[in-house]
Amino acid sequence: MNNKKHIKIQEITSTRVKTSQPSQNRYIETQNYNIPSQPMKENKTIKFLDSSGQQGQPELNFKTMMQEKLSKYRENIKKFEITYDIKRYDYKQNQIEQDNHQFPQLVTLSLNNFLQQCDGLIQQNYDEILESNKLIMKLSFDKIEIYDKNGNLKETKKSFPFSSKNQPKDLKYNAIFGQKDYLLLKSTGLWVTSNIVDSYANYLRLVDEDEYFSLTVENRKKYKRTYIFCSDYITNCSINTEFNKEKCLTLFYEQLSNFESIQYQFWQIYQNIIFVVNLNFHWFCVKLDLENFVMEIYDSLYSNTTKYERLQFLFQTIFSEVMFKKPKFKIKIVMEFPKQSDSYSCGYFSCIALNYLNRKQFNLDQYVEEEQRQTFISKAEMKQKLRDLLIEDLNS
Amino acid sequence: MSIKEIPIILVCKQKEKTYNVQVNIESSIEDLIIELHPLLQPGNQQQIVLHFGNMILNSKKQFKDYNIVKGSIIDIIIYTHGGIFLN
Repeated sequence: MNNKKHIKIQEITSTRVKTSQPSQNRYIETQNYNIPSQPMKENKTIKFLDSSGQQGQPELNFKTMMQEKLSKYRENIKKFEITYDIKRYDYKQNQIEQDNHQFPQLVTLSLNNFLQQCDGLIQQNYDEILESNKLIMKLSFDKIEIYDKNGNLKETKKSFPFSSKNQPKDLKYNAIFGQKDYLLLKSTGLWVTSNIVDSYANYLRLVDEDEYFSLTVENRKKYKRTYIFCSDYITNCSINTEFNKEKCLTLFYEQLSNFESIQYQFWQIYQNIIFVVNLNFHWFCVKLDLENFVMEIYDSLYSNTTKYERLQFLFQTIFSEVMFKKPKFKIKIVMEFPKQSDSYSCGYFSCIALNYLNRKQFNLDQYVEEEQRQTFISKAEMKQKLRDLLIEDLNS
Repeated sequence: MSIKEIPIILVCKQKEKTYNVQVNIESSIEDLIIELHPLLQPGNQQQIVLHFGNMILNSKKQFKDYNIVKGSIIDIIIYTHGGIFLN
């Protein structure tokens, strides 16, 4: 079926072009650009529009959009002195036996199997978050309930929007997986994609949620929950080119929109905070310790602390706003983290770091945790885990 | 504009760009991604994907398969690869 017709695409300068008769068959990119790309485009179903052609629509501008969003987010932060209490509940306490918890052997399960396994087992345990003894949030497996001032349920959200059942085979943990990724995991010498690293990060977030809500109240109190910022946050901040404070803050709030009712103080719920970073085409992970303001660097190619100063500045900027403090983050390079001996495997090592940091939380006993410190899995093991997790369906 | 055609907003945070786009809800996500290639010019090691409400949009699906309505904001994410550059 050929349903295409000509559409004129015109490059413009950063100033918006005013035309007497705005055409809907033109697009205007509202930001700076100089080099004409494609003078003509054909597509009937997709049309790039001149924003002036839409009546009642505000002029589209990235900077304005970020500013407006940021001021909206900032409206939710009013009183930092508010303290939030977490009350934990077991739905059926006598049925829960989790004293001897182990890292769940789920790494070979597909998302559908994972969700089936989770169904009905752990979703009944829940935590309540109280503000001045008033219920404002209720958290359970893959579910967040928001309550209004009168204690009425206002909104129910999924913690993991991508976790619905019956996902297509090529969508894995919110990443598109195809033959190319399959070949990549089968081969050696190829760079790891953000599809792989981010989907593994999302998988670990699900595992962490599963594990946490499987525990008894007492063990949940000791457990440090994991929150992983996937690579798109740092990538979108584009800190290597220029530092746009408003953008970095807006994107940060956007990531944390589920925690609006607790003024984005997500560290009240999650203490194991990890950022997946792709900087200059190199993968590594940063764990933030918000109690002591330490950035733990898990980098398979560390050099010196200068490499991480832009990140340090970013974290200081965003956390000085959300924490109402002026934190000075110390950079701590984790020297015992294994080093890569080739030019391609930093992505696998980032997954090793994620696996290690997530696994550490399952050992509530400090002694065990210290022992675990020495046990980073090997690159081959990590690769196998990723294969089992992400491409098993393509094999079948 | 027919009822099947809706205006949406595309935002590429990484490149700080925004676009107003009119799409037919029966067109595929892939159609839009193809249109974005000459505009964003992703490198060999990059891939354009679209996110809506923190959910990745499957390129094989159509806009009508998602709860995308008039004025919806869709994020353009440029996925990256990583290793190291050898000097």
